[in-house]
Amino acid sequence: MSVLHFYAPGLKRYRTSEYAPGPERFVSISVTGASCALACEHCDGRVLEGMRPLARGSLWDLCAGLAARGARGVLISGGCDRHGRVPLLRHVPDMIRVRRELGLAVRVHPGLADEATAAALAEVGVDGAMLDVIGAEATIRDVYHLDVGVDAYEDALARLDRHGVPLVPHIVLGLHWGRLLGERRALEIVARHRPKLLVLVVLTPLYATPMAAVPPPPVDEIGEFFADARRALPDTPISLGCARPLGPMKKDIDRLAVDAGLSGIAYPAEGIVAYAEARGRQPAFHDACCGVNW
Amino acid sequence: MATVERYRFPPDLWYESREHLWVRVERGDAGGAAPDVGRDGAPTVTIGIDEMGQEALGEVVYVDLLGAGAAVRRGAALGSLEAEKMVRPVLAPVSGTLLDVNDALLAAPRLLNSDPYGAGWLVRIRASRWEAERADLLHGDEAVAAWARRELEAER
Repeated sequence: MSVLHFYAPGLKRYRTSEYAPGPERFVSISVTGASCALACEHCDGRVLEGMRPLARGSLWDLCAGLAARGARGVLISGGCDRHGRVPLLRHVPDMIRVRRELGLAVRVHPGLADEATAAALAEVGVDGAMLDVIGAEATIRDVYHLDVGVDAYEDALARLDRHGVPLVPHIVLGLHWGRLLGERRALEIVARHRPKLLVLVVLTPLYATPMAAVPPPPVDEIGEFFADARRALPDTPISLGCARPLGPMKKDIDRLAVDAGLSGIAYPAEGIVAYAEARGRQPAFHDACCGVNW
Repeated sequence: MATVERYRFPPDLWYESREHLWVRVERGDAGGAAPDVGRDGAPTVTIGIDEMGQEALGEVVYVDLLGAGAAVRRGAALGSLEAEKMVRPVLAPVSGTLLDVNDALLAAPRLLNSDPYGAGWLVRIRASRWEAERADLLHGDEAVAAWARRELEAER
């Protein structure tokens, strides 16, 4: 019986009849609070609102307090600068202490990591670097408001990989106003860089963003992409990540993830654990980001 | 009315403290004092989420509830809420029979955010064990305000 891993990172409060995570085992922190220079069309900084802001004191102080209350891992995230980089460098000394003295698993959202950041993250010993890989120039320009090409994403993955930072790339299905555009090119890029795991997420219309009324891609296209990803990376774990539309569509997407043989699902919809078990999958529960190793 | 910071807690309601649910005993006649009761004497109660609870949810995107006629047991799930900041079951604060579900809320989940004590109500239940179970609910401005202050303190 193959294992299906269910994850509950600390991005939202989550509880179903099948999965009730413990309190604050894994906490997401934004080093920029709610600020992001890009204000992407699909997010406009809203995702940062679900994170713990680093408002006062140091990252070390915040993490030490979390560890004292039972946390076992953190995601260090934040908004991007104009070049698509999350300003993590000045927190690296704290991150090293958090990893070595507190023993917390450290995941990061580095954005388009430059050379210095990639080297520093390797020194920290992060559990993984997560970034959205975009395979269409039009999406990078018009959704992310970034003046770079697709090669910038490939370069960032290569840079992190060269320094030995475990890669946890994400591909957002439907990022181009609900339409699949660069996703398959992004999959080709990811496949060239030996990821620790691939995370697939789906455009989620967020309230009070320019894409609030944009319909996500059709469920059958999502299912086809799951199957393509499974074929492209046959030996790599693939998870369905945090972001996807809620309600009935979420249940449909989660079932497709099980049917396609994905290895993990974050925040499973009500009833999905039972659905997976009925298909011979053995559930395992982790109060953390996809694929985190404690 | 108990008001703690920006959160209001109407005095006629009972509150389930763990799930931030409110319970209102419905009156049988307009403006009258007698509760609306069934043949077994069980009152009709309306259930919703209080202001503090709805703010913790964030924008509610999807509401799923059992259908009218279902038997509900206190503490058992009678549906679920999905919001941008939270996914959670709706656990019945009292036992009884589900009389009515707020169809307007199912169609427009953000009513729960915009009018939690009014148009955003969740369900109506014939509360068959009301006399026993209401002892576990909070009622009265003083008790409710003390609980709300403790909740805010725990969040900090």
